[in-house]
Amino acid sequence: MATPDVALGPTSASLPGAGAADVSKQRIFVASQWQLMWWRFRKHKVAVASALVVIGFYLVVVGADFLAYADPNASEAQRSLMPPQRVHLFDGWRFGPYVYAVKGARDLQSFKRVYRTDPSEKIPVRFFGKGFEYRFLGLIPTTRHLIGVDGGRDAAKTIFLLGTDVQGRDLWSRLMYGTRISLTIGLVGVTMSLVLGVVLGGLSGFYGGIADTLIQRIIEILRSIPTIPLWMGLAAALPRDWSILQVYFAITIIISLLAWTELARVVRGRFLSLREEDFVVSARLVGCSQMRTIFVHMVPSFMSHIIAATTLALPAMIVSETALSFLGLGLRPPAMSWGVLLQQAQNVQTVAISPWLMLPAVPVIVVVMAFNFLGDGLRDAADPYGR
Amino acid sequence: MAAEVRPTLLSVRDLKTYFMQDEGTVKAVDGVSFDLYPGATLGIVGESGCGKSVTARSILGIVDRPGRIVDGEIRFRRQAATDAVDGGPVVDLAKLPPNGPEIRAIRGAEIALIFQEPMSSFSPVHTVGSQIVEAIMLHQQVDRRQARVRTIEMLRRVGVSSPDQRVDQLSNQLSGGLRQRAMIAMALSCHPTLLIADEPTTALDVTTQTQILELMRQLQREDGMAIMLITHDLGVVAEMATDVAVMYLGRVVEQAPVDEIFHAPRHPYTQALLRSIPRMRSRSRERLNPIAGAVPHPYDRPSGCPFHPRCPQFMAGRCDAEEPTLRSVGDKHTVSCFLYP
Amino acid sequence: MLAYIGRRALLAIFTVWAISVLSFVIIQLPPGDYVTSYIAQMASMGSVVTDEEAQNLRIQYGLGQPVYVQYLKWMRLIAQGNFGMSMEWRRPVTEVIGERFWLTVVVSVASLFLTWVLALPIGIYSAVRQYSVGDYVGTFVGFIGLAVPNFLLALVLLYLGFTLFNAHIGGLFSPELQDAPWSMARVWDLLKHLPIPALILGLAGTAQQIRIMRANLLDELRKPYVVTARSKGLTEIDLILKYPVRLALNPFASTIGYTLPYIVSGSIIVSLVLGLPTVGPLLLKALIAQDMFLAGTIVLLLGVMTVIGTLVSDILLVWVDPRIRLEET
Repeated sequence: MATPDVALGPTSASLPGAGAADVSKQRIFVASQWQLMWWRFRKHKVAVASALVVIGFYLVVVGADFLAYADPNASEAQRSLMPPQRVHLFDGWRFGPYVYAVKGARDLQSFKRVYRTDPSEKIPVRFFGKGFEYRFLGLIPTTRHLIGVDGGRDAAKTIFLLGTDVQGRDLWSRLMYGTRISLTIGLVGVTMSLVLGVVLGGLSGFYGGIADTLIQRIIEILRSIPTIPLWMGLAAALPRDWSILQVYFAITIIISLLAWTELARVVRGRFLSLREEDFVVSARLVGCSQMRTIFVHMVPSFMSHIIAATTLALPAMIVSETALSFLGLGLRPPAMSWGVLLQQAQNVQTVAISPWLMLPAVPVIVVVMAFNFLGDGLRDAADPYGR
Repeated sequence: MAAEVRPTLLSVRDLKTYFMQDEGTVKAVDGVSFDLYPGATLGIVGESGCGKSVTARSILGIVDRPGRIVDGEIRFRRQAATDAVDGGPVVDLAKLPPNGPEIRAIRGAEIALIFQEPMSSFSPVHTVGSQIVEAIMLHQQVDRRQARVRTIEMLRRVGVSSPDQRVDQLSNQLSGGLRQRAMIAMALSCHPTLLIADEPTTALDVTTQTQILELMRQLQREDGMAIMLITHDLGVVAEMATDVAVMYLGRVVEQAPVDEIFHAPRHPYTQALLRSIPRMRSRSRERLNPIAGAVPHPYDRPSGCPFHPRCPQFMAGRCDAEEPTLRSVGDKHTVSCFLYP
Repeated sequence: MLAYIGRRALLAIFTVWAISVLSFVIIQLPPGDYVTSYIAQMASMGSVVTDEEAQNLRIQYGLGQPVYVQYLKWMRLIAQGNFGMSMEWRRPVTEVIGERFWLTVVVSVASLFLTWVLALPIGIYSAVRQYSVGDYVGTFVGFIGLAVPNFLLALVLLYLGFTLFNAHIGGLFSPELQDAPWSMARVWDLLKHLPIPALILGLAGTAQQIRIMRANLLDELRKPYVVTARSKGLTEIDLILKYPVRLALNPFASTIGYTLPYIVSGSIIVSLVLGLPTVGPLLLKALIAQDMFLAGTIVLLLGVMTVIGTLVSDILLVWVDPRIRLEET
């Protein structure tokens, strides 16, 4: 045996200066997949802010009755198309919010109602004031609202934070209730799309073959069809005498029928790429049943992607419903959604005189942006290969 | 053996390339110095992550952002306009404006680079020929037709069969060995004086490896160009290199002619590397000799000599306090270690 | 490549068939049959429909027979160019739709074109100069485009134009040329009015394409062939445009086709707000008035136009990516 060129060196145990490699001093940190996602998500300030915004909106959904101060259906021709009232926060130096009373009169030349503020009369705004009766959380009857004014029904002694619509109904209160319907329609619709998308996408991706081809073609066909004309057509066909609830569900079904394709594509893509992964193959080789392989091994891998895709699908639903109702084909009065509220702002002449009628557009924009940022943030947090 | 006094082709002095990232600064290349002579082959060896590739890219000025050269010199002797024996002007590549006309004139024409992954190094939607023609037309005053003729000639020279057909094929239509040959053809199309090969055979099987190395040796003999061969494979180095530079954590720890490196290594790291090679004739069940410890995390560089936590000849107080510099210990043999002050 | 185009064409035919079925469903949805309402309408105008005429109409439309027979009869009528009568306008549907359909096409195509022209350079710039001011501005505008529904954007712009500039931005023609016959002056007038509706319609699509282009290009810029090109001595601009952009274009081009349905869809509502003389306002009125042949025909035409547009874009995609061409060999 030839002697080695260099003498054998010391073994690792006797090395000086090798403290950093001492295994016993290492602590092992373990974090679950969701914890990792949460930590990555936290780094995206914008996404976190958006999450708070979304939570805020859904709190409004729960507490709409509380946040509104006027009965959203109480119409009063005397108060039609009042502009928003300015709230003065300080009375002298004390903190005491108040508004000036507004007197309305009919302009004899244009026959329109004109409003003048009356600086002599101050109406204090109270927090937790009394207003119309409702059931808080559907259980507790109460008349307390976030803000209110004394004087109740007197037409001259009221507050209209965002003005009134053509029928004299307070816009702020209607907006609160409208939020409830607009946001929940989104949820219901997305749930339906999710179910359809996951089932069909899963079938397509996991089994492949004919099922895949068929479902893929269907998805492609649906994607090539312009949606709004179809929705309009289907929505217009709903009988006029259906109750609000029936119309509500019919609209969500109509919208979901075309919207599931996006989710199905995501699910299918995930299944396809996961199917070939070594860990899936080894699960099957070890003897896992198909159900187990799917639900225990594959689904957790793309659960986060599904959540992200769902979050991104919500704003589309909300906008679709808003669009349909805006046209008058979706929900109809006395139902209140952002789209229904915007119906009054359909043409530029109306809006030029009463621009506050466009205000329901603001929550639409804010919510859509918030959901988009949130969905982006979730998607980035879910992606194990992202930066 | 008479020592020829040849002017160096490439002289790197104290090159430092750092990556400024949010979490900290990665000192990928932290004071690298070596010399390369015309017609010679310098093998640069080291473990993954020691900065070999970044060194190569620094020379050409194509380090990815956020990395950049922060210090050091890269003195390169350019080709002379006429056939002067001593070559043309010497230029400090580190000081040239990035992506300026001068460095771009050097890239491809005087210094060429071939990569580890020939598949992804070619554009998948352009033909192989068009990419070689582009290189030729960038640096030489010929029209497209002539460039195509030269391309086919070059492909033939590197041993690509049916070059007039291959020239119009996409890279995914060629096998791994053919792709690497095409890559070499593209690199040599403008007759550079220096060819930098970054792990050219790592992605190939052993038979193809041998062929490619033989091709490179042959072309070097014919054209007289220098080769800077970057690899982690000591066998390739033994076969190809005339000189070897051993790198660890962004520093050159030893440079010597190839025989000296293999038979008389001085630096403890080089010695440990050679010891760790399994012997063909060792007894069965004999333990392997890995190098103790692990390569430190780039954000967690050891103080003083970067190898000291793993060094069997660690001297407390010296090795962890100061950084050693390269000292000459023989004919063209330099070591960076306090064992050789 | 031919096989690929053949497959896409076949799919397009299926899609058109699906749309025709859906349009037919829309026509059939309201209660009662067409002829009775037609008679009632005629009666309210004081004209009388004889029993014989009523019977002929019934046979022509196949009423009283199973649904699929009615569908086939309707298809046959369409093949002859007879799209039915509009009850509200009391004229053939084709007359009522008139040039509105072609204007819809013009607006949609202009919007698509604008999306391309804007998204491509902005996307490239955002990727190459990541985290620069331009990148952030582009991303922000992109988000506005995504977040604000196009009809709301139209409304706000109208309002601003009206109150700030006292200008009426809606419409596709100046009032004096509104109903005039076609002439160079009218074409020029149309071109002058196109940018704003096209921009509003295309903004959401543009925003999305910018993000896709940016993401694709960022992926490609990290790849080795970019380093190879740089090491050969190409200038940055040349190498970016020639290599990674070319590769980033592929997925980009394939998604452009699918913005067309979205644009056509959006044009319906936006044209309502802006008062454009396209098919949108007509469709809404037809649906509210239950003028079903008009509504169904419009849905059918819109669908067919979209499918043809998507097919054209698929063919263009093949031209851009030689890999698909070679897939078939």
